[in-house]
Amino acid sequence: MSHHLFLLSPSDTPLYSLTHYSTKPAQTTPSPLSSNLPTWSTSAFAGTLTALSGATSATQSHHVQGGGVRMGGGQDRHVIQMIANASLDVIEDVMKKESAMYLKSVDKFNEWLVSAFITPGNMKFILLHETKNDDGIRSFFHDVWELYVKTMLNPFHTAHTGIRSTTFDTRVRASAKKNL
Amino acid sequence: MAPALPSSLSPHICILPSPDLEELLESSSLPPLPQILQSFSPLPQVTTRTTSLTSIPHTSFALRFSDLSDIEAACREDEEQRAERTLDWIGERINKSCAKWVEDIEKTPDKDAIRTPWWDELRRCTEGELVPSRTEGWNHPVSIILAVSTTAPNPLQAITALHSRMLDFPSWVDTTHFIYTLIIHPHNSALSDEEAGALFNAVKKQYGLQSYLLPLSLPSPPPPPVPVPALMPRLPPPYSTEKSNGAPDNSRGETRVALNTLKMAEQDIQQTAKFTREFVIMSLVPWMERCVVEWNENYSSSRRLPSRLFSSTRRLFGSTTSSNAASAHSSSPSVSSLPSRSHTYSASQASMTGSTIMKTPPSQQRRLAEFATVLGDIKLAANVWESLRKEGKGGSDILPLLSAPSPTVPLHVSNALSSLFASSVELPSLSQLRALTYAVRWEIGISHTEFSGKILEGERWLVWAAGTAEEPPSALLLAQAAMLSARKPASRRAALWYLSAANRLEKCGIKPLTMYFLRKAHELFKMRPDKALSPSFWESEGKDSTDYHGFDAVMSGIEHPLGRLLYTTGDLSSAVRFFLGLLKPQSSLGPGTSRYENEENKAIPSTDKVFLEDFRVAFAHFKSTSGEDVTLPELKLPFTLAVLNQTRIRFPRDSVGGEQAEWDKREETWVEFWKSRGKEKLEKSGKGAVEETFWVDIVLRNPLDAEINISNVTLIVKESLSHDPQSASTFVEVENIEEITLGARESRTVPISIKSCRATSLIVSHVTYDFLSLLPSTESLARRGRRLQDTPQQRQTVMYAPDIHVKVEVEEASQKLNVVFADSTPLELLEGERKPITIQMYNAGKRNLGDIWMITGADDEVWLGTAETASSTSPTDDISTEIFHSDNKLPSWTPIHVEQLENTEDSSSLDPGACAELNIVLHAGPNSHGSLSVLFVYREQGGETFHCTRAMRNVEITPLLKASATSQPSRSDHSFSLNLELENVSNSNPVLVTQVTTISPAWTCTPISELWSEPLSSHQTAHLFLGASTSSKKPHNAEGITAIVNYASQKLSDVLQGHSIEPTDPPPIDLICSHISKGDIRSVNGPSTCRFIRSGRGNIISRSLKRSFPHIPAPSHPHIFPLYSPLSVDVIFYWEIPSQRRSGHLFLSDITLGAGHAALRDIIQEAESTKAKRSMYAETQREKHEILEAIRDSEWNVETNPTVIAVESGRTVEHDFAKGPCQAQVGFTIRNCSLTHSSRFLLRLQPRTDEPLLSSTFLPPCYTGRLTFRGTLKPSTSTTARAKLYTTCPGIYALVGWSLETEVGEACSQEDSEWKTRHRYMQHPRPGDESSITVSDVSEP
Repeated sequence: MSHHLFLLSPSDTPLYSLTHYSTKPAQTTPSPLSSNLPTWSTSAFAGTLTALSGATSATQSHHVQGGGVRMGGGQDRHVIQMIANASLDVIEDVMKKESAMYLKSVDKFNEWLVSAFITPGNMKFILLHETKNDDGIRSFFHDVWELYVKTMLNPFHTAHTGIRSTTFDTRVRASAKKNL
Repeated sequence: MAPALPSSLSPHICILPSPDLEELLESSSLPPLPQILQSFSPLPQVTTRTTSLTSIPHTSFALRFSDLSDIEAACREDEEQRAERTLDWIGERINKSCAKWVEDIEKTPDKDAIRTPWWDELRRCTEGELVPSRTEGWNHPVSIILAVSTTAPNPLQAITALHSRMLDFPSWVDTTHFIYTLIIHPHNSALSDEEAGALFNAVKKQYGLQSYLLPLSLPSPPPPPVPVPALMPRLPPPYSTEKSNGAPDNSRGETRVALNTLKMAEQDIQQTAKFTREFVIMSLVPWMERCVVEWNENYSSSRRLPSRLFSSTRRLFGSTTSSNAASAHSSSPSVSSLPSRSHTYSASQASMTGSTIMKTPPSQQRRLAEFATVLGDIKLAANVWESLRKEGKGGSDILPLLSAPSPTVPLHVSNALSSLFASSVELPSLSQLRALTYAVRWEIGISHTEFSGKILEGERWLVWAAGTAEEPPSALLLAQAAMLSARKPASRRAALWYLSAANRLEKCGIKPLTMYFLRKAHELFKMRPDKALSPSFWESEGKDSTDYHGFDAVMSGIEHPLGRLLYTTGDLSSAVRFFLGLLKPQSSLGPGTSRYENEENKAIPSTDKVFLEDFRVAFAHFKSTSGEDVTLPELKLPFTLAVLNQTRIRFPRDSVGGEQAEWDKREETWVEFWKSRGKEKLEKSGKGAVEETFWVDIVLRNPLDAEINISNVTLIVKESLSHDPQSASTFVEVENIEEITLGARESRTVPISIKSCRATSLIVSHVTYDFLSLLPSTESLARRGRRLQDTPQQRQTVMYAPDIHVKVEVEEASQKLNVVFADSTPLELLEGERKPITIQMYNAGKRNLGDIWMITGADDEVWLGTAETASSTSPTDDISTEIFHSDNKLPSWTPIHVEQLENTEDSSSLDPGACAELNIVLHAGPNSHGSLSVLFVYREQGGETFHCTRAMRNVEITPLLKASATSQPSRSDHSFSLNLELENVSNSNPVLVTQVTTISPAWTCTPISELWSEPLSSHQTAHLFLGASTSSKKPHNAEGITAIVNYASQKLSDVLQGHSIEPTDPPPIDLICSHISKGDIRSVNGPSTCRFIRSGRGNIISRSLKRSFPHIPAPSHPHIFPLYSPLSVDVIFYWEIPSQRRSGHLFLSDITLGAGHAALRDIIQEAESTKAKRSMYAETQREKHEILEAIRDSEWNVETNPTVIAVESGRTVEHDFAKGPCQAQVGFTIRNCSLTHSSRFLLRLQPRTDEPLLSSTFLPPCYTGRLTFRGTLKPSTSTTARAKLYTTCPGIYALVGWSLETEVGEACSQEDSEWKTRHRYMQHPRPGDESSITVSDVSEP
């Protein structure tokens, strides 16, 4: 089970990304016929993106095969990024309506749930996850926010500076390990 | 008013035509009857009634007609197989025509189109399905029309035959339909109208009122065709049966493309329309209404509150009310009461008992819901569907069509789909098809604005329905969803879906549409939605709002498949363009992207290699097909290879070697040196010469993660004043490098040589190369200028200085000196060796060179002259001591003027083309670097600028001798005795020491032992003992010493006080040189020796100063520290190895003799007692403290006890003890070693000593007589105190038991001035002192 975190600037420039593989066992699908939720959200479509990822290896036989960049869980990096990008449409809609910073499971693409966190400075943290884990994700987002604020204290860091601090990276990973 | 339902939810009517009717229609050039009747659907203005008898007007009422035998045959096919076939068939149809669609759409892009041709096609294919399904009742026939014509030989018999025909449906097909009889009476029939009327009456009598006589004229030459609505495409029957009726299928397929027409006369059309209308209004609708009413009775009775409450208890009360009325249709009494129940029903069921799954037809309740929906009784329908849904029997798929938009609708949708998908991971075709059917119904049945509105978000339903299937229909669902999203506008989501659609379609091989979708995704992804960001956000960020970098991997994920598709479809130039665009260096997103916690996924495997290979193949193919000369001018590499700010120009003299920093230091030294002498500048080494090759070093960095090769690497050089890029091509030769291979992310410096035949100013504007030996590329070498900040306007808006070009001045080589070492092999020297070296100079210019300077390294000890002059000795002058005048200044690093050149007529200048030799002698000092780097600065004559050139030779130095010295106060006439130890540390060379010279401001050294006459073998050590005493020419030296000490203390005081250092020189000093030699004496005043002594000592002192006083800047050292301190003694060993004709000298300089008196005590105290000015920086405080400590510990502040006591030891006194005890005299010589200060002393002798003696061989002394001696010693004087030792027996008496108190007075010139004590000391015999006196008994035995 993997998680994908993206930090986006107010102009949607990605500043940081992280792929985290949770060691926790994947939760089973919630009980069937739950009144509010479609029951097929996790299991039935799990293969969609796996199937997608092979698509880049096109049909020419004389070409070097293997154009698809595999990430863990058989995901194409560009598909993951595309999903994060696509979720911005909904996130921006929801942002206008709600004032909450934590937008839980704001969007869904096949098996991926998208949760987001909007800082007061209009930074967007986007997390792609496969199972619901509201509290864990909330506290993860709060950790990331705190770490991001610390990074922003650097006077040479603008809203568009990519975050390359290893300290930030290590701490985000630690928080991901703890919460996700 | 009822909502317009999708046509697939309309009543399905099967027609069974008699053979004669088929013939008739064929002869009249008319299609089969179902097609004719289908042309009249939908009917306008039909009114139905609900169960509560409310009228519902339908603006259009759709009907579906089909051939009964076709449907029967289709029902026999396995559903799953049929679904599979359907999907394939749809894909095939789309594949066939999508190229044209895409072409049309791209020709006339219709922004507002809600539906695309492929979607329409998909929709029609899905809607056109008429075969009954096991799970829903929509396609189950509602009515069966038995059609005959009056052309039959016996029409009545034909009708009877049709009526008696068994229906060949499987058991699960609902048989609730009514039979209708249609008699077509053509104009040319054998029967007259009356006979036809009679026949009609007979039929009505026999088969009920559901009959109709349709008179048609059917003119013999068919009338002109009339356009009618197109027929829905239908799945052709399976392959096995296709042969028989394949032709009609094909024709059907083609009618879709052409306009569908009917060759019917106007009158016939009206007649047929009248029939259709009558059939619907008079028969079909009332029959359905009746069914609904009856079934509703059943339904509501089971739903009534009591029945629902007690349904579970019925059993207990033995109620016989049928509770399964709704589920089992065959037993429904209401149906059995219907007038037209098929009498063939039981028979057909019997024939189908073999069927295993789902034998029962759809439930009555479901049929009720379906009929109510068809009739527009929405309220009832929604109710029934809802209850069906609650029971888990479907309904979720229809409810979205009937309900008003609300948040629950999407839940129905997801429910409907989940019931399809939940079962298995591998999606069966049937589920896919059903999901597709649902999606299509929703898309048609819900108005567009509501469907894609915010509440329903219908485009997501399409995506859900698409599921994971990889069939073309799923892809088209995604595409439709994408299109709806794009209109919303949610372009980013649309891009994702388009990409997904493309990926799925690609697998099915539908290329034109795949490319179209990829293009759409590409276009949408590039589109950036408007951001509600303040303009000042961008201002504060210092960024342009258009400067946007999105997710890095997405573009390549879209462009790569697109490029490959273009390549396979033959659009090579576009493919090449896309592939080239992909070769962007990947900017990783933060540190997180490249590392993963999984071990096996340590890094992202780079895609660059694949992209590069694709580009190479595609471009090579493009070139081979379109010819070599075809170029794509707009094809440009998306990255640059050259690292601009590392581009350098290198001249031949730069390539001499050596560290650039060292050369820079020498040039700086020259500039510093010349500053005070003239204003002529040194031409920086930045000009090339005509006909001389120089190089442009370009650093090429491969940004890709794959190996690349470039060929034909060369430069474009133009004249700086010309605009023509080819202006310099005629007279400048530029090297062309054939091929360079750069590894993944490798950086490499590539030198490209340039040679100009003319003096000019050149600009190296571009570097050109063929990327992968295929794509000619040009990169500019100009760099952006600095950011301007001078005016407010410049500060407010970003402005840059003009671009910086790579410029080279090429000048006539009028003044050019080539300098080389005569022998360029590395020098192998012994440490301390003096090596004559010849440097050859050649004037390569066109003018005389008169003014030549040589600059060596700061540590290099070099003398300009030949070996003979360097080693000159003065055999005549046989003095062992001479005076050497020194300015006592630390030698600074200065250039040497070359005044004399060998081999030239006019020794002061060098003619053009002339050669000259320059002889130098190099002394291999202990710290010489690994190379001898000499910078030559030259010009023709005064007033001209200087030029420089370089020469370098490597030097290896092997240690030869190791010298050390120890000193101790002397007991003899000398003040100190000096023990010199010399060790030959080399492995093989026997060294002959020819002369030892000591140099000191104060001390004269005379040999106590002989100088060695034999050579010193390998690893042999020799000692030489010298006695040091103050010079006999004392007076002038004492003043000199005081002056030096005063100078140093003054300067150090300035340092401590933080005053600026005046650039004054130390007072000069005369040094006393003592020579010890076996043969000829080499004078220190010889020019080379003089220089070597100065530089040798200078190097040692300045190095130690740099070490001790790191905080005092080195350039100010010469103005603070004198070269010689007064008490120092330097020793020079002259050696030679006669066998190898090598000679040299070794410098030993860390000896200090005599006492110091803390000369800096006062200034240190002053500095310490000054009220400390606190600095806010701890660093400054610490530095100050360190300086103070360094000064305290320096040799200028040495403090030692000046008095030295020498006990007259080792004497033997002979005494006749028979005559009584012996009183032996013992002399204590006390010497004041200070050269400057007087001392008072007090020597006490203890009559008895209690302290333990060193060994039992010694007897304790017993002094007698005067036990206390006082005196004052002037500097460098001594006195002897004679005490008496009282002995009673012979033995060896240790001369211990004394103590010496010393008071050092202040230095003062006047004799009568008052005594002031400066220091006090107390001395005792050292532990282990073996001074003794032997008293022997000479008495007669």
